[in-house]
Parts: sequence; C-alpha cells; structure tokens
Amino acid sequence: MLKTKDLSKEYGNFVALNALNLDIKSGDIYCLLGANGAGKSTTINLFLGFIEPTKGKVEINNLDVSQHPIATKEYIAYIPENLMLYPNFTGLENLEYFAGLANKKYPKTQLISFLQEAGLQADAHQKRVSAYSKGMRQKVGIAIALAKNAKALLLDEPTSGLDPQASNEFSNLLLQLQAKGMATLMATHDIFRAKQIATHIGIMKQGNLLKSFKADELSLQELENLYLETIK
Amino acid sequence: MLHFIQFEIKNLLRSPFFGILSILLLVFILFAAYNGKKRVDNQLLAIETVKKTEQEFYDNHKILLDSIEKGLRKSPPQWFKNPENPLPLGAFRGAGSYAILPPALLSAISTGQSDIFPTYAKVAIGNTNAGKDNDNFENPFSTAIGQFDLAFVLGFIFPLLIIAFSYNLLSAEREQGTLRLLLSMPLNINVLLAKKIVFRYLLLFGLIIFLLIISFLLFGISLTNFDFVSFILVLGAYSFFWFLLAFMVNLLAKSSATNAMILLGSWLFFAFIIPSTVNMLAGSLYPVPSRVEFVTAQREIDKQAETEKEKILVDFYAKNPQFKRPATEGEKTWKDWWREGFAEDNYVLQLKNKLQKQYAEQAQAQRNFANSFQYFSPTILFQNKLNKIAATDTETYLSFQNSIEVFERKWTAYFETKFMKDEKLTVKDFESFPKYASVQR
Repeated sequence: MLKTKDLSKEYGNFVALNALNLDIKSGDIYCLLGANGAGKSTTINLFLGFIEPTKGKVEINNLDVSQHPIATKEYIAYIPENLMLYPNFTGLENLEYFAGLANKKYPKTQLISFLQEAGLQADAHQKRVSAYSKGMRQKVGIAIALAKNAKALLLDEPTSGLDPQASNEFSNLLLQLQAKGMATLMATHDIFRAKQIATHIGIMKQGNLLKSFKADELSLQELENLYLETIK
Repeated sequence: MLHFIQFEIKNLLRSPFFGILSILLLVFILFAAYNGKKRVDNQLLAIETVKKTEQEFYDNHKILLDSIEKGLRKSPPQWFKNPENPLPLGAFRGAGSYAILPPALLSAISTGQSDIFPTYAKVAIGNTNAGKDNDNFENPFSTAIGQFDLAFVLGFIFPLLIIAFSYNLLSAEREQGTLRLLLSMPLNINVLLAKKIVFRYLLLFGLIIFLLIISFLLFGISLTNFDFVSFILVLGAYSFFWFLLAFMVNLLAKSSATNAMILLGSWLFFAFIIPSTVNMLAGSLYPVPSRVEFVTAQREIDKQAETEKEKILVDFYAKNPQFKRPATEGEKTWKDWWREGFAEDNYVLQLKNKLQKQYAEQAQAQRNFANSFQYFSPTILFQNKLNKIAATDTETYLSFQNSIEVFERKWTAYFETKFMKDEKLTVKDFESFPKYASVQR
C-alpha cells in the first residue's frame, strides 16, 4: 500500500533522506524511530506530496505520488503532531467538511458513528473544536480517516504531548484500524508505543534507514538498546 | 459544492467580522446615498426656483403686453419697462431664459464634476459667460476633500473591505494549522482557494447590491432603469478586479501580514499614487492658464475694445449706414447707445471666444492626457464610469456648455434682430422665443 523505491531528498548538499526503501502492506503498522532530523517527517511529507523527491519513487496503492498527487490522497489519511481543526466548528461539522472535501457525503447518523468509533465522547460532538484537547482533535482526525475510507494512515508523532491515557486510547484505535486492514506509517520518538502497536520498526539516522525489522523480533529492552546504539 | 457553500456561510456567520463588515457597509452606503440624494434634491429645487422666476417674468410681461394690445393699458412711458421693446425681454432686468441640465436618473451616485460646473445658466443678450461660471458654489472645503458619495464608498472604501475579507484565505489556514490537513485531502488547493474567492465575491457583491437596493428604495432613487444595470455591472467588474488581485496575492503563499501589506500597498498605489501622479504630470506637461490669468486676459480684451471703440464704431456704421445719425440730429438716443453697445459686444465676443477656445483646448489636452492613464488605475476607471452613468462627467458638462452657446446665439440673434429692425414684440411672439434644447444625458 505504501511503498518507496530508492527514495532520496536533498536540499543542496544536505541529504535529508537517502535511498529509502519501504513496503508497508495492508494491516501493517510501520513505526519509524529516530532522533530529530533523522528523516522521519521528510518521509511522511514525501508520501503526502508536500515535497518532491530528488531521486526515487513514492507509491501509494501502486500509484506514483508525483504523477498522481490528487488521486493518491484518496487512499490516505494524515494526522500531524498537532492536528488543528476549524475552531469555530464543532467536531461533527469539521468531520462533515473534511469528508466533503474528500468527496464523501454521509448522513449525520453515519458521521456520528465515525466519531463514536474514533472514541470521541458523545457530548463533545456538538461542541466547538476550540474547546477540544489535543487527544480529542486526534480522535476527530481518526474519524476523518474513517469517513475518507482511507487505506493508509500517515502519522507524524501523533502521541507526543498526549497524556498516557489518551496515548493508550490512540494506540488502541490504531490497532482497531489495523484489524480492518489499514496500513499505517507512524513517525515517533515513543519506543514503548512503537513496540506496543507496530508490526514493523525502522530506525533512522541522518536520512538513512539503518535498521528495519519485525517488532516481535525484539523485546522492549532490546529495542531500546538497539535504538540508543543506532542513533549514537 | 453546496456542502462547501454551507460551510463557508457558517464560517462567516460565526465570525464577528462579517457582521461588523455588513453594518459598516450599510452605514456607509446609507450615508452616501442620502448625501447624493440631498445634492440632487438641492439641484432640482434650484432648477425649479429659476424656472418659476423665468415663468413669472415672462407671464407678467405677456399679460401687460396683452392689455396694451387690447387697448386696456397704455405702453409704459419708460422704454426699458415697455414689453413691446425686445430689449427688456431679451437683454436685461430679469430677462433671459434658463438653460438647464437636469440631474440624470442616477446622478445621486456620483458627485463627479457637479460641484464645479453649474447645472443651469441664464441666457440673455450680453451674458457671454453663461454656463461657465458657477454661481452656486459648493463649500470649497467639501470640493477640496471630495464628497462622501457612493462613488467614494464603492471606489475607495469598498476595496478595503474586499481586502479585509480576502487577504488571508490561505495564509490563515497555514497560521491556524489547518493547511496541512487540507493539503492531505484529494483536492487542488488552488481550486479550493479560487472557490473561496468566488464565494466571497458573490456574497459581498450580493450583499452590496442588496444594500444599494435598500438605500435606493429608502431615498427614492430610481433603480428600475438601464443605468442601474450598468452601475451594477461596472461595480461587479471593479470588485472582481480587487478579488482577483487578492486571489493572486494569496497564491504567493506569504504570511497574512505580508498579504495585507501587499494588498494595502496596491490599494494605495491604484487609488492614490497613480491618480495623483497622473494629475501632477498632466498639470506640468499640459498646464492650463490659471483662472486669475484667464480673467485678467478677458479684462485686457475689454480694455482693448475700449481703446479701439472708435474703429469698431466706424466699421459698424460702414456696414450699417442706415443707423448713422447726421450730426444735426443732436444727442444719441438710447437706441444708438444700444446699437453701438452690440457692435462693441460682438467685437469683444469674438476675441473672448478665441481666448476661451485656447483655454479650453489646453484644458482638453490636460484631460486627454489624464484620461489616457485611466486604464492604469481601476479606481480612476471606475470613478469615470460612474460619473458617466451619473452624467456628472466633464464631457456632459462641456456638451452642456456648448449647447448653452448655441442657445445664446439663437437668443441673441432673435432679440437683436428685432431690435435692429425696430420691430415691436407682440403677444404672439412669446410663442416663438428661442427655447433651450436640453442636452441628451
């Protein structure tokens, strides 16, 4: 579903990403670990078409992102580190608007069920988003992914700044989506969450993917040691 | 699309900005329409008054003449009170007919040149400057700072509201953090921006038409005419320009503050810098003699006529020997004085016409120069179009002046000829007095 082939991004002499090869299939949760500036967000931005690759290819559902910048976005949903919505609108209205932008039209009951599925409590549906916490906004983001009927999820440090309960709820949501066949690429610093939910983990440093392995190959402790050793 | 419109409407209604904008627009439009209507009403009142004065003057003389003709009264012993004499009815003591430029249907929308040029002028023999001097001066301060009319509100203030309404369509998304989420949607962001601009354009344009209709109905300004349609079309094109500019500035993907600076700078450039630069250039490249110089030159002509009086009279009597009095007949009569006066006036008129023509040609060259730059500033273009629709543009007033000159010649010819032929006026003649043919607005 999410694929890169020898993907590189350079800014002048600076190599932000170097010959990255990824293949994330439906039902996979691929966590990219790495320090700041390792190339995690660059990878996500390349999938979103926000930046153009210097070399290589990015594919979503076998479509080249550079050649099909709009069509590829039909398959993905994106939740940035700090998801912002329209503050003058309720969670439900935001969901309706973004679903509409993705050419999806649903009755109100269906939209409410998306919000419920994303774990947003019922009394928040009609409240303006300006009163929402970060965790609540993330849930609307998940509801948008559900409404879009996205096949892949791109998450850029989604749990940073969330309290442990909200973070745990978010992880559970990702696992529920995984069960439905969602392919997920998540950039994170949170080794614990990565180990908890990922099927695959990659460790990046200075634009290079130095390690890539199945999450169940290592214990949490081993993962931490490997991570610290890799980014040293 | 409906979904998008619903969202945009909700978004605007929930922002206090839109409410404030609507109230501001309503207040400005109502005040400007009221000002315009008041100005036009004052013009109509002044026109009505002078028409009444003229009517009364000629009615009274007609009644007097009728009684004289029927033998009910004797002719007044003073020649200047005798209605049988063409001069009292064509040349002096309240005589003369008014050439009138009535306000157009939509004159209320733009003051234009109406505070400089007169809208009526009394035409009588010897009144050689009719229609060129405005004896109904506006307050000079108002003339200097301009009028708060609809042309001002729509030409200068409305673009500011458009800018306030559209300067940050994309930058606000970036600044409030929603742009990344928007960009992750399967859509072309420029198309979305275009939709937002078109929506705001239609909404603001619709709002302004609604407010204009309300104010026109309230103040009794006609709106069921072709001029109103032209007015709306011109306004539509003008506001489209500002929205298009806002769209292009949004495409630059700068911050809201930068966008606002660029758009306000453009407003300043188009609405003030270009017009004042063009005026300055026109004034320097095609200087029109000052009014004082013009009046001085006219006085010089009067002086010249005085010194050349003898020659003028010799020429006059050479061409009209029948009026030459033998030296034995004693002192000149009032008729001799008037004939000689006409001869002098005709001489002066020829010279003054020549001077006026020079003055007018220079003024026209200056206007032509300024007009050739109107396409560089949509604000000038808009103002000119509105003046045209309101018939308060310079061309309309100049053609009014020309029509006054034509009327003046007819009037003078009619009464002067009767006087020269020593013909008496009859009641029947009142029907054949020259009438002013009004200029086509």
